[in-house]
Amino acid sequence: MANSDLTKILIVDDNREIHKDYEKILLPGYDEHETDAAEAAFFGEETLARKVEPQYHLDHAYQGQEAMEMVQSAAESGEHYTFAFVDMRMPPGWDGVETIENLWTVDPKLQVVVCTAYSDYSWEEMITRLGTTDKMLILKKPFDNVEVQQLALALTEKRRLADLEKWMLREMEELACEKIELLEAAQSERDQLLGSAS
Amino acid sequence: MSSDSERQTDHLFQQRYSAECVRVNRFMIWLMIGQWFLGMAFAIFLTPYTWIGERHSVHLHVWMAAVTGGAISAFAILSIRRAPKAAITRHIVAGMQIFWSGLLIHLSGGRIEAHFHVFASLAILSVYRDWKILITATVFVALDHLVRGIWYPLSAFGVSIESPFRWVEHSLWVIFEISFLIPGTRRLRKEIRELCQGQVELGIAKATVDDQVQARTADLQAANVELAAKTEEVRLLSIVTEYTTNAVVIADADIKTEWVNDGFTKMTGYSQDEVYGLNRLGFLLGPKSDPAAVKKLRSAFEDNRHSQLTIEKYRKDGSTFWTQLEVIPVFGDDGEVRHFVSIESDITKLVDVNQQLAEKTLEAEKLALVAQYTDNAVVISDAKGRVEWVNPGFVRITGLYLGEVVGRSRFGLQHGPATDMEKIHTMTSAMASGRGFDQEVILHRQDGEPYHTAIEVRPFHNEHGEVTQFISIESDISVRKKSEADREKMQKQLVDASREMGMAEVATGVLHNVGNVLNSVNVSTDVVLRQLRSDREAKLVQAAELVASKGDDLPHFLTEDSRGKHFCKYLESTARTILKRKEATLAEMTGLVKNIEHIKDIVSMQQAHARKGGTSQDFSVHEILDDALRIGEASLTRHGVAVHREYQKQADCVLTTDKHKVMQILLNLISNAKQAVNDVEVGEKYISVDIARCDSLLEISVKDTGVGIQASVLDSLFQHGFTTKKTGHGFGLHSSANAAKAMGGKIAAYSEGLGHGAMFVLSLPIELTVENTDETTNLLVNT
Repeated sequence: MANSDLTKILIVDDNREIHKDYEKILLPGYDEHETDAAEAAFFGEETLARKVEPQYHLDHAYQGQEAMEMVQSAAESGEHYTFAFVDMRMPPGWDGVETIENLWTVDPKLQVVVCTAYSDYSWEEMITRLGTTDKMLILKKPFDNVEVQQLALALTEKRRLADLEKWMLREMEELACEKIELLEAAQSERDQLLGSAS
Repeated sequence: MSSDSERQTDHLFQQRYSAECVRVNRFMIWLMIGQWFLGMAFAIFLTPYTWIGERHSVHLHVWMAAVTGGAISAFAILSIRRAPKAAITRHIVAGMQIFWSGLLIHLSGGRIEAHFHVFASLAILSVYRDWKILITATVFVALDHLVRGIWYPLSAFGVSIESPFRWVEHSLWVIFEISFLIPGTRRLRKEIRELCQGQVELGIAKATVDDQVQARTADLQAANVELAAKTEEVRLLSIVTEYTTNAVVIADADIKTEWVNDGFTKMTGYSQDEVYGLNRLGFLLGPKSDPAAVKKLRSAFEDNRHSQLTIEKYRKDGSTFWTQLEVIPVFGDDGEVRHFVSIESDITKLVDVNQQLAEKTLEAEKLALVAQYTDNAVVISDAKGRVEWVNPGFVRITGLYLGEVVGRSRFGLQHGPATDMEKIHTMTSAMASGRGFDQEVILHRQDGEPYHTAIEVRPFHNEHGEVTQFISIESDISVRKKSEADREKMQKQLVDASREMGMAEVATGVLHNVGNVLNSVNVSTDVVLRQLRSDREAKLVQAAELVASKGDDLPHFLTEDSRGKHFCKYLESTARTILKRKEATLAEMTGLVKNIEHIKDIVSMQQAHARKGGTSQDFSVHEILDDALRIGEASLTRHGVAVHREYQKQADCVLTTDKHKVMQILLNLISNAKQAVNDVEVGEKYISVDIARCDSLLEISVKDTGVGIQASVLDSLFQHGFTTKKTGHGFGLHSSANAAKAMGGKIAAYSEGLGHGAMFVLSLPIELTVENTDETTNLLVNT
């Protein structure tokens, strides 16, 4: 269950440059809050409704096996990754599809964004291997920053809602169970009463 | 008495009688001779005194005695001599004897005593046992006495006058004598005859017995001979049955075993005792025995037929053997079967041999098929290389028939204008020296068409090691040659295709890398744009205008105004932010430039691969190096890298090879050196490019004072895709190394380790055309 405020994202790519790119896109740069405040104070404007920038925590893996270990330990510790960007071509180890297959064995909830400029698989093959699932999205390189940002946003929200739904469902169940218990208790009481009355 | 025995008796009697007569004749001869002497004596001593008194002279009667007596005796003797057995002889003898009596009577002058000679003669004559001659004698006596009584009674009776009937008296006395002589002789004769008869009968009986005995003996002998033969036969048979390896079994009419021979024991392992009394039929058979054969056997026994069949039987130890079995019923005189004789021979080997033979025959048939149907030409030639036999394949390939080539030299009819005669010569001389060989040559068919053929010739030796024949197998490889040519073409196409594919590989790899780099470019530009879109600067202008508009009110504004108070802070903060942003943007832009350069590298590398196997051209080494350095000049300059050049004397030469390849390699090496040097923070950054000559090799060395290479990494440097550069793609050195090898040279990498720089040496083989020039140019390119 992702309880922390920061969404955990795993980047899996053998090219270090790409990792830097993701960081550039998803992590906030230098902090300009102070300047914003000063500006606002000077101009007497309302502090601009600052965009609530989503907070992401990025982890880096350069090979499929590495990613697997990280996902596994995260799952075991209860702090699952919300999603992972997975490159298709990562010689010399596993390729993207293999990596995703393996990641899903340790964390079936993990959402993945397949990210590549080139693939050894046709998309059909990939979908055949990985299955028709909403847990996989596709992002082609070179990508625009906004694509990544929106993906991250959407996936985070999706996860949140999913978790919420689950939680609510469980709550409902518990509640229902409680209610049933109460009802049963009341019934039995009534029966008792009725029984003793007659 | 049978006529035969009568005849025999007669015959025998005649024989005996004749023999007797002969004997008597002999006596009579002596008698005749004796009587002559006696007569002579009478005549000499008596007759003269009787007749004439005492006149003493040789009287007529002496001569008469001599002559007559002689005549009489002679006549008798002659008769005897002439026909000793004839009856007439006896009669003549009888007659003569009486004549002697008469003569002697005469000579004695009729003396009474002389008449006794008659009676003596009769008795003597009776020795002949022929009564008829007695009659003759009597008649002669009678006649003589009658005649002499009448005409000369003196000589007969001694008196001159005599009664005419004295002769009757004498005759009567003679008759008297013969009357008991005759029956006596007859009796004698009869007795003798009876004796003879008896003898004959005995003889006959004996003969009969003899015959019988002989017959019996003959029979016995014949029987003996037969017995001997039979015994011999039996002996031989027993040898056969004793020593034969065939199994002989005799069973009785109920098919129970009576006797088996050693051969049976040897064949089956069972002794006689073990099998005695056992049923011949089911015995020794088992599951493997063919049921049809068993049935046949059974019916043979039941029908008492002679049969022959082959069947598999079991030994005592359980092993099986094939046997040819003959069952022979033996019938007695009553027509009923008495025994069954069966003879078996172990034909397991035969069966095996037959099987092998069948297999061999099959094999041989298959081989024959091979020789018959193979498309290859098979020729058998004699030790001198003359053709003995060719197979249909030969005819097919060459168009020559056996009749045309038999007896001729092996290649005589097959060479033509396209043939390499030296090869033919080599082949024929190899065959002449008894060696085999493999050879490819062009021969001609009967119609003149040339064809490629691969000939394989092997000599064939007899048991003495002499070469007796050559076997040659020719395959028409025209098709093969053509397909080889085709294949080469295809291979080239394949190489080209794979090269293209390789290029595609490379291209996709390149695209992947370019994609990655482009991504960074994209992101960077995005970030930069975002940064640049900020309105801080505009706001700053606004603020400046606002402050300027305050004019003299400025101090108050700055200190008292609720908003103005924030101005300083705002200004400071904004300025800092703008600067930070500028720095960040600058960083991004720098990165961007790097990436673009990287893309350029990748693309140019791709272009290098795209270029086909280059053309060879002459170019000067110095020139190409200068060119390469010039290309990289801008970048080198920008990065502040110094370039030293050490061109050794004698080392300016002309290379004749692929100029493009060399250029690419040099560019790659220089670029690597530059990058290595780039990462060095302290110390001098320079690259040195040297040309040196080492024997027949030209060595171009690119040395740098860069980061150096780890020893462990040195080996992997030229691997495809290997790179130590952060933004490297790993193709450069790999393709450079390949290119160098393609030109007959190589690239070597040296480094003393991290931080100690590196040196790459490209060696190429050269053709020195330019004289040595004393030149050491040292250029320092610096900013």
